[in-house]
Parts: sequence; structure tokens; C-alpha cells
Amino acid sequence: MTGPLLEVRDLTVAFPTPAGLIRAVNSMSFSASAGERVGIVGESGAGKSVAALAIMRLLPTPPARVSGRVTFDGTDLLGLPAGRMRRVRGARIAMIFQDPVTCLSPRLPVGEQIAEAIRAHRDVTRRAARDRATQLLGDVGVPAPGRWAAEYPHRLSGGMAQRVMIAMALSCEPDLLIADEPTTALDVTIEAQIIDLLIALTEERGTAVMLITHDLALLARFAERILVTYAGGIVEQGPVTTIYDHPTHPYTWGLLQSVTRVDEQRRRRLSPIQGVPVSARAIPPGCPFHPRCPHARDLCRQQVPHLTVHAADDHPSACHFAGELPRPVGRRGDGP
Amino acid sequence: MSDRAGIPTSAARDLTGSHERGRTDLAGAALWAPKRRLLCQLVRDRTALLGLVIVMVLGALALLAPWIAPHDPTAQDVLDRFALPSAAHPLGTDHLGRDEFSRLLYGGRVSLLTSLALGTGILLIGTAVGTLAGFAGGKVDGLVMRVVDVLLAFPNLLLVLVVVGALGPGMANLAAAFLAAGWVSYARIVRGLVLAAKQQPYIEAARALGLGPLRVAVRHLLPNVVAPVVVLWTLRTGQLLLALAALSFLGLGVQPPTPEWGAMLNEARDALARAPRLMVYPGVLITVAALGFNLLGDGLRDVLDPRLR
Repeated sequence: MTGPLLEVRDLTVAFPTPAGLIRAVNSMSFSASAGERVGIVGESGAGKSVAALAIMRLLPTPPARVSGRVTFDGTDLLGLPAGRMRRVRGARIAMIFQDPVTCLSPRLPVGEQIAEAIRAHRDVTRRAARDRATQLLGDVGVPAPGRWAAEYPHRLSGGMAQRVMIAMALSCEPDLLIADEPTTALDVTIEAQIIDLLIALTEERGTAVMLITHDLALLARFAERILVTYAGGIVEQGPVTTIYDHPTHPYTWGLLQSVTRVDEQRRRRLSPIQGVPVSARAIPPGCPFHPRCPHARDLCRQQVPHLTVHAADDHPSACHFAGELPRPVGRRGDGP
Repeated sequence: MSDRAGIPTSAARDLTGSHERGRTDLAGAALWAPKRRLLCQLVRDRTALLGLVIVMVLGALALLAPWIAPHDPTAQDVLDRFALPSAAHPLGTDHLGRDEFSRLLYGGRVSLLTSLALGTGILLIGTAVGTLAGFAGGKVDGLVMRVVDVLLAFPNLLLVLVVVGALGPGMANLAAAFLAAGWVSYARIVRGLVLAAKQQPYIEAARALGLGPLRVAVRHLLPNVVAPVVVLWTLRTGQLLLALAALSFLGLGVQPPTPEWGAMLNEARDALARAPRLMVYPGVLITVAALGFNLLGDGLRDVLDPRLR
């Protein structure tokens, strides 16, 4: 395959409301290669989930207005007829969601649900699908899979339910897995298990993963490349070490500085980003981050910065002054 | 009965314990057949069991009527009118000397089987239409629901009387009338349930797995609306039984000399003072049958919801 597995160009999702157009995703562009683990990070309302749903074509249109291009393995997904899109979902791109227990149908045994997902794409007998489902449950670390397969979702813990969701998502060997905050509803020890499981399973199968989260620490463990989103657009992207070691966008600095670290030598006050995330209803002119940016200048208030590689740096950042600003001191936000 | 619909019976709660103990060490063995367990669970719920037994006993008696009835239900013996129960006539005879026991058996055939068939027919039509409207939404929903609204604006009984008035009395016409008028309330309820279930994350998750609309509707949506529908089915079947009896009582349904519980009640009315037991028999049977359906419905509701187990 030539080119990236998934290429998103100028994806825009807007919802008309009586109070005006809400632009949840604002010309977002990014790509993901086969087998790559990409992390998408941003605050609540940054448009991460909506972008994922738009890529999967799971948003009801209308009311949502989706524009731009989503190319997956050479096919334009947004222009695909519904029937062919259905053959992409689950089989080529799978998705797991935030609250695993409510994502399982309460009246079907979980094994049956996995078998159902297999039978949606593969021409196999019910018997074979069930055997495969049991095997998949074993793969995702469910003990006594034959027994748990017959269990109804309400008997499962959150971590167990998410394992079932992962089994279901991987049942048809997709090329891309979109995980939308898969561990937000789980406690930290289970979170670590699930993340390790995701890494192991997708590495084994060569599945690309797009992990959507607001947790930078999680991405440090998981992602190879990070996309930082703000107000429906990508403000900075780069390999995980670059984003952590020398971020160039003030928003990324802010995010990094808001994270507590146990290995820190000095006692330090957490410095949260000032203000509140911009409302998708009223995105300010110029750089959407300027009202909260400590370095905002006149140019920021007038001109929208584009995601470009700046001369002084090595990875794309949507800041007019990327590479020129004084970096905050005292933590990993500083340069090498 | 209907006010109990939302409360799990104590029997259902007791059941959870015994159920747990029964299925301990089956690790590895695939327990893939939830449907086979359904009957077991139903039997363990005492209320449901009672309902099931009532419905099944009455149903069996009705089905086997030609073999167990001691007499022809329409054979008259005017010399032996109002006979008291005896070896020849276990429940005595009616005002025309017909064997009461045989008439009750054959009457059950008409009453029970018709109401059961009608209840099921209404259920199937109503559920299909309601699911279609709720799932498709938009114009389909609007169109179907306006038809439902118009039909719902008339009392069910009025519609039935109009149809019977136009086509003439008789069981076939009555059944057609009930079928035509009865599905609308189901359709409305099922549509509401489907609309609510459609918003659930598991429906989106199912779609994200590439399941087609039919598969999503049948495998994920319907199982989640089926419990209230089953309860409704038993309640409506009980109501239909009563309505059929009432219309036969009024002379619009079954025509003499065919035995039917409602019609028998009507015929016995004239001899109320002389042989009150002739009204008691069909009356008690109608009550017990309706009760059986209701109890069964309650039990089924508990068993169909895996969370109540």
C-alpha cells in the first residue's frame, strides 16, 4: 500500500442550531499509517470524538453537516454508499467507546454479540462464529472464556466489558481501530491492563490504532505519534518524544504543565491553562487559543495560524510564533 | 394485575440464589443456549408457574375436547333439562339438556384459541409496524403514526361494532375486526420503546461494527423491547378473551348452538334463578383463564429481563 492508511483532509463537522452553527470539528487534517499508534489528545469539546464518529460515518446527517475528505486505503469514505460503508465498519475500521458496559446489548450473552459481529462480515456458520468468539475472549484475557461467553453484560465489570468490546472490535481483523476514551470509565490499574492489552493485540495483528483521550500520561505509554487538538482543529503534531520534550505550541505546553508528575525533583505548583476551552459556538477570530495564550500578540488575534513546520523546528505546529517563544522553565516542557 | 407490572415478584428474586448454585463449575463448557434456560426459570418462578399451569391445562382441555368430552356439545335432551351433576353429566345439563361439561370444553376451544391466536396476530402486526416506524423514523414514522392516531381516536369496541355491523355477526368477522383495530396500541407502544432503545450506546456500537439495519433491529433492538411487549401480549390476550366473551354474550360473536363461554353465560342468564351454577361455570373459567394469562405475563417479564434474574 502506498501513502497513509487513513488520510483526513479539512474535515469539518457542523451542527446547525437555533443559536447558530456549531462547528465541532474545524478543518481538521491528519493521517495515520498502517500499524501506527496515533494518540489524539485535547480537552472536552475539542471535537475529538465527533471527528471519529464522522470518519466512521456514524453521525446522523442531517443534522450534522460533514465536509472535507476522508481517504481510507485509497477509498473516499465520505462519498461511499451506505451499504459499502457498512462493509468498512467493523471489518476494516472498528471502534470502541468510552463506557463499555452500556455499549453491550443488555439482552444478548456477550459471546453471542461477538459472534454477531463476526457473522456481519464473514460468511461462517453460527457454530464457527461462536467458537471464534470464545477464542477471541481468551485472546483478550478473559478467564474461562467459554463460561463468560454465555454471561450477560450486566454481570461484567467495566474492565471485563472493555475486554469484550476489544474482542468484538478485533473480531474481523480491522486495519484501523479507533478507541474513543476506552479507559476513562475504568480505574487506573485496569486502565494500564487495557492499554497494554491494546498494544499487544494490535502489534501482533499490525492494526493501526487511533486513541482518543484527554490523558497525556496515557499517551506517553501508548502512542507513537501525538495529535494535539484544540477547538476542532489540530494545533500540533509529532512523534511522542518530540511532543513531550520540545513542544512548540503554547497549548501543548499548557497541557503538559497541568499534569502532575511523581518523578519531579522540585516541588512545583501545577499551572493550569487559564480560562475555559473555547465554545464551538463562537470560535474567536485569529488563533482559537489566543484568549487563553500568555504569549498572544496582535497577529494572533487577526490571522488564523496553519499547521506548518516552522523554520526553527522539526514538527508541524499551528502557532505563528512556534520556535520563537521563550519556553516555560522547570519541567519537561523545556527544550533539550 | 397490571399495577404489578413494574415490580419483580419475590419468587423471581428467590430464583437468583438457586440459579447461582446450579451453575458453578462449568468453566470451559460453552453455555450457549439462553432459550433453553428460559423454561427452567419460568418453572422456578411460582407465580409464573401457576399462570403457565392454568394456561396449559385450559389449553390442553380445549385442544383435546373432541376426545375427552363425554357428549356431543350440541346434542339436546329436552327431557333432561337442568340436570344436576351426575355420572353421566359431570356438571349437569343446561336449559336444552345439553351436557354442560362438554359444552365448556368445546367453548374453551373457541374462547381460548381464538383469543390466543388474535392476541398473537395483533402482537406480530403491531410490533412489526411499531419497529418499522420507530427504526426508520422520518416520513415513514410520520405516516404510520398518523394512521395509528386516527385509529386510536376511536374506542376499540366501537371499531369492532362498526365492522361487525357492516359484515354481520359471527366469529370470523369478529376476529377480523379485532385484528384490524387491535394492532394500533401495540404499534404505538413498540415505537416508543424502539425510539428509546435506539438512543442507547449499544445500538451505535452495533452500527460501528458494521451490522446492517435489519440485524441491528432484530438482534439488538427487538430483544430490548420484547419484555414489555410480552407482558402486553398476555394482558391483551386476557382482555381479548373477555371482549370476545362479552360480544358473544351480546350475541355478536359466536352464534348458537356453537358453545362459547360468553355465549353460554348469555344463555344461562334466562335461567339464573333456577340454575345459577350454569352462569358460575363459564364465569369462573373466563376469570381463571384471564388470570392465568396475566400471571404468565408477569412471570415472563421477570424471566426475559436478565437483570432481574
